[in-house]
Amino acid sequence: MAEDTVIEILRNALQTEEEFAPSDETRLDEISNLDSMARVRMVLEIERVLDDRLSMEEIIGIETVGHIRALLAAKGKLRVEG
Amino acid sequence: METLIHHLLEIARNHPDRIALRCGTESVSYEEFRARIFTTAAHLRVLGVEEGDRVLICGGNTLAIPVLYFAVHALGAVAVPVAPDTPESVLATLASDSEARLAVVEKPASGMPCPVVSPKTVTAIAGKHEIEPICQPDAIADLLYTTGTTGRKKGVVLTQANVLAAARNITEFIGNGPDDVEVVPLPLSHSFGLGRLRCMAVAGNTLILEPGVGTGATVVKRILDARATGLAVVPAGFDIIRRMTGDSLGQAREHLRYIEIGSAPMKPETRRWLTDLLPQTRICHHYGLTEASRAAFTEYHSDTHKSGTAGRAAPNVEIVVCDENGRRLPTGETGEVVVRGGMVMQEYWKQPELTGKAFCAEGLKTGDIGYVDADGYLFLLGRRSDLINVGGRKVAPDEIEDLLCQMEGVHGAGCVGEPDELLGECVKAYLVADREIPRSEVVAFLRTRVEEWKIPQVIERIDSIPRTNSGKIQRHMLRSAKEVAWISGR
Repeated sequence: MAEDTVIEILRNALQTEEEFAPSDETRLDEISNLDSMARVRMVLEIERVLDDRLSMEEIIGIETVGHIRALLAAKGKLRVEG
Repeated sequence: METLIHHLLEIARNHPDRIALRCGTESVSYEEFRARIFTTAAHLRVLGVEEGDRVLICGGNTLAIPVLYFAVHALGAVAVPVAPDTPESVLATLASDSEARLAVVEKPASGMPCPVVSPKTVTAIAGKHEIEPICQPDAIADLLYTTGTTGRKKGVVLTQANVLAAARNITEFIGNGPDDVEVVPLPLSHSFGLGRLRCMAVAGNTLILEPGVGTGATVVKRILDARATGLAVVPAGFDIIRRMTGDSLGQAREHLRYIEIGSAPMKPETRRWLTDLLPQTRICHHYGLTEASRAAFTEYHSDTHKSGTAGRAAPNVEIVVCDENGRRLPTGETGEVVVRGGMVMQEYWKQPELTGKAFCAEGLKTGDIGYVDADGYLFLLGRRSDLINVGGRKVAPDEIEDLLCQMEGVHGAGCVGEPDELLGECVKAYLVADREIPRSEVVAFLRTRVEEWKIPQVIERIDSIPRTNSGKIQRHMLRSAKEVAWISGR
């Protein structure tokens, strides 16, 4: 099964291949090992998917997994394959 | 006023309503800060902490940590600040080595050799069970663990006089004062961040604590919203801020009076970006060690004629260069950088032999190679040790190598620094192995044993680790050795 884009972004940020399925309500500060550098990697991954830079306000606004999903959806870049 | 605590008392007496600390939505005035410190000290005493006892403090940048730090001092006890991401096993080792009477730890900690309480519990006591401070200038104030070249941490012993001298020297050079509002996204467990807290006790300004630089966006927003006049960040933090927020920090140029930078060198292009962005801001980059805090300073706008310098000796500090026998060398000659001043440590905790090797007649030997020019500017040419500098935090290759060799199928390991766009350096590991080992397996193995930032970002397989006849790894050869198989990267 191909992976949800948001989960792929987070796994790349965390540099893990472990199974991982946070809900949209999960806050980023609740995700184990998502430290400062992992958050930077997360933003870089989001920008890679968007092929565009995020603004400072957009970066600050990412507090939950759902926020990432909403951001990608708003820019037409959300993929969920079954 | 002979100690930091006495300085704080004076400020609280004269300016009780001035804001001392802000963290998130919370803020405390100097009088509230004083009250919390002394009621916490009373509680620590009830828990059995006495003069001279070591108290391990492990937590992130919350209001509780500065309260605890000064509460321990107020009792004449010794603060042992430890990074919040320290693995449990290492925490237990440090508590054991320091013979801690008590550990105040934010996260669950098992296997500890002393009682453990949470920062919130010990600082939450209301009431008026205050005490009078009993610390003296020659009493030990802090025991700061720093990374040794063999991987074993060294406990740096600093007296009340040492930490006060450091704070005075730094404040004198930077010029921060009581009206300043400073953003500090640095861990208070490390010499750099802790130094800003100590400077607050001397200058009487306001500190805004942030949990870290993170993506840089929150820090920049905080600086702008608070109209901050000061900022303290490591060089990697500025690379992150620049990459993530562009030139947004430039909006602070009207109110940002000073920046302190330290713990690692700054990339020339980042330095140029910062000086162009903030033409009126005093940008002070220090050179120093945990053993000798802020030994030298350069100010970016003033020292443009001395490209590459680490600066001149800080106020009340002397820097000389010595040969391998500890004899002072003439100006301009290259040798080991030696530092003398009131902020220099007393000793390494329970390591008299190491302490003896650390000093010569001229002062503390830094382990750095360099020279001082005719104008008194220090130029660094290299490190004696193989320490890897990951965004200001030091990694001893031996520590990671020893752990990697415990992995199944790994017969040898060598670690070096690899240039990193954001962190300056990251850890690269060469493995001699009888099978392919994916990076994910290395990460999973190391994650419970070391801090996250010590985990190698790059792994390469190699036929053999180059060594001298005596078995010492020749790391300079690792950087040019032929690789086999794969690179598992970021």
